[in-house]
Amino acid sequence: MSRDTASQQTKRESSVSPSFWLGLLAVLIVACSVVNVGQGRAIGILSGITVLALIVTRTPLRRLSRLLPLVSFSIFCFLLLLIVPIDPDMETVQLPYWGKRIPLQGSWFLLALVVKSTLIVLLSTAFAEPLSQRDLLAGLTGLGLPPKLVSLCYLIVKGVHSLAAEISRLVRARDARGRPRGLRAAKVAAAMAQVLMIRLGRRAETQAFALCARGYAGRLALSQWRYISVLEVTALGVCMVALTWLTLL
Amino acid sequence: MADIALDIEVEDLSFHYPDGTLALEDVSLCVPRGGRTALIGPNGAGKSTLMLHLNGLLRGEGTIEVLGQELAERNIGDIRRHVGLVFQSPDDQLFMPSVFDEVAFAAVNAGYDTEEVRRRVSKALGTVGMSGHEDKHPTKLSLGQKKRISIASVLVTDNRILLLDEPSAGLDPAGRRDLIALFDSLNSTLIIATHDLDLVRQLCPDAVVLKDGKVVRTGPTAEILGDAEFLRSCGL
Repeated sequence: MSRDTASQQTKRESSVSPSFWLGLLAVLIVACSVVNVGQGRAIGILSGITVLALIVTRTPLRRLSRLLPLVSFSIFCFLLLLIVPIDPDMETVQLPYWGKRIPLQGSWFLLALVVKSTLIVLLSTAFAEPLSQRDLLAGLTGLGLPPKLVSLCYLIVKGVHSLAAEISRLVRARDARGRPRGLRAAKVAAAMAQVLMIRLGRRAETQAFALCARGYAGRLALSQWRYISVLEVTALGVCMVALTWLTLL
Repeated sequence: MADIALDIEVEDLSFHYPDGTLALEDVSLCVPRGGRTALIGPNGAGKSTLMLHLNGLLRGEGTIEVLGQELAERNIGDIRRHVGLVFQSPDDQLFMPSVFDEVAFAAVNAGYDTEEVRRRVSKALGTVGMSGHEDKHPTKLSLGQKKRISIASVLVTDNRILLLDEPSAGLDPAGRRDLIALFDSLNSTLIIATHDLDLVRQLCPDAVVLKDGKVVRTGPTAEILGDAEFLRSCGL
């Protein structure tokens, strides 16, 4: 949700609504979730769509750092596979160059986790690139989702921004007094996490007051938005059918 | 006060926070229609807590009458439409994705149609001198601009009462001067919680001094601010 300012009015009046792009992203995420990683062709096509989306939206390479949590989680899962006890009847696979055997089912799980999650994270990153926060709010509203769900999604995104800003303030305050090392660094980090929770709680409370003070009753109201059009719904339907056919190939 | 129309009348208001901290104790005050009253007191005196009560966001013991109606669950929406609250930190208040949407928020909630919302937003932004910033993201503005947007976001529904919590906090001298000129031009009843005594002197003929959640003095601002010993005893 980056390019928030300059061409918002133009985008607001463009022919394709943000609801369509959010809908398309949802369709692609569902396709990535249900695809069998053993189907090379389907995975290849979904990967192609993902790369195309990254290129078309000109997603900067630095955004790929969003894959880092996934990488660390995948490593954690791989390490779990190494220590999991193996039953003699269990199908296993031998790791190349290492000789260590790991459960076959577990290795498929790990492969599915890495492939599907990577595709989903990259698709979300690509689709988020040209959409502003306003597009997110207008798009979710235009999809006809329940107002409280729309508010929740939007406030989560806002919350992540607040969290990032608060963390950077805390880190600056810590560094200004000398960066702690060793075990003390861990203690300071724990104290910072505690402070962060308190500050975020307070901010959430004040923001809730600010919302209610101006008449919020469960709907984050925008003055200019439109429902997704019939043509766009039809296009999404076509995409869904095509991707379903593709994943069942 | 018997024959003066009152916009706000608070009687014996007390409030404890959930952890048991006494924030307000038997607070009583009156604000006349069109008046400008300052709530002054040191940090933790209960100014912000009292402001939240006047908008119905917190509910304590005692009675609050706003525009002749006793504040209750049944009329809270109606009262909030007439009472605008500007928070101390605009970062806490601003959450919509563009200046236009931020200012329009209360007007859309009030049920005005699109054209009326546009007209009101345009008027409110003009009042605070922020026309032309409609498409900007509120978080990318300067503090002074954010404060102006916060004020526009409550002016948009023609609030008859404006509650301003530390409006001059963090502003540079020019921003502060502009803000004082802006408040001076408004016709609404103003209640300003602050410890900026110069701002109080310039804007508010009446003042209420709070200390440890209690009203310790009310009266003409000039008289209160002239009593240096009293101010020192209140931590001001």
